[in-house]
Amino acid sequence: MNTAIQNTNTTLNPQLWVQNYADYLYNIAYYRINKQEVAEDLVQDTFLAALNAKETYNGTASEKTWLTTILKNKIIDYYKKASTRNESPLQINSVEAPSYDYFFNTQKMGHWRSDTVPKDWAIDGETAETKEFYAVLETCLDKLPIKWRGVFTMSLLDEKETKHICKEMDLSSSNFWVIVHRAKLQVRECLEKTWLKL
Amino acid sequence: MEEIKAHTYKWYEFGCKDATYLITKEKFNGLSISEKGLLKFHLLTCKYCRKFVSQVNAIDKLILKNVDNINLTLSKEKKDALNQLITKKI
Repeated sequence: MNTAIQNTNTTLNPQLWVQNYADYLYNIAYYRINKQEVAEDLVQDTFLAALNAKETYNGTASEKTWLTTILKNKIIDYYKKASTRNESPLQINSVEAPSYDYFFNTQKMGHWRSDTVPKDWAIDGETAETKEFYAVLETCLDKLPIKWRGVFTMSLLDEKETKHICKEMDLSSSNFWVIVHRAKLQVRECLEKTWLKL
Repeated sequence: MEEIKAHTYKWYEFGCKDATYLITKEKFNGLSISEKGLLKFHLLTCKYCRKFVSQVNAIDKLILKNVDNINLTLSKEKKDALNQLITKKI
């Protein structure tokens, strides 16, 4: 009912934006960038940009979708700017993280090293959804190089957006997969080591 | 850059390092026919990489679930400030 009204309405209600969408947009921004202050700033920028572009809103998309699109463009801008300042989360050279050599024996065709080889997990669906397990997961994600975490989560959340960012940044996608891949290796190993020790 | 290039794969030196990379790549980009063949064969013969596949799939799902579970909210001060800003601009 509500959405039907929204969809046919071509006017915006900026007075209600904060109440209706601020938290929603904040979550989107936070999980893609993983920095609280940046996420807050982006929500603010989104509202300001939306006010400036009020006239271009024609009601083909709902207010929520329209604001989300603006925010996602802001997120791309953020990544672009970070890369021109040489602070790009997508450069791995500068980042401290275990290299492939840590996981694989590069002398021997790149087989798993004996201490990092995947072991059997005594984790079934139920254990995995306990608070304790999520706490461990959180710790392991925190151990990722800080710049990688947002990139990693984004790659899981939104495939299209991820591709878009690679394209916009003129970034070879393989560069991107290397980061996502190394994040995966690291998180998996950390979970295994931490969880099995508990 | 520690990039692994597709055309450098040779079946006799294709190991777990390459296989796990292709497992990640497959999800987003898909694989070429030869990459698919190499990976398929590797997974048939390597129980560790099979374990890796099921574990990372589980982790991906859990992370997404965790994102759904946690709803962050902006502080009241921040919201008030945003409201003021918007009211000024309307």
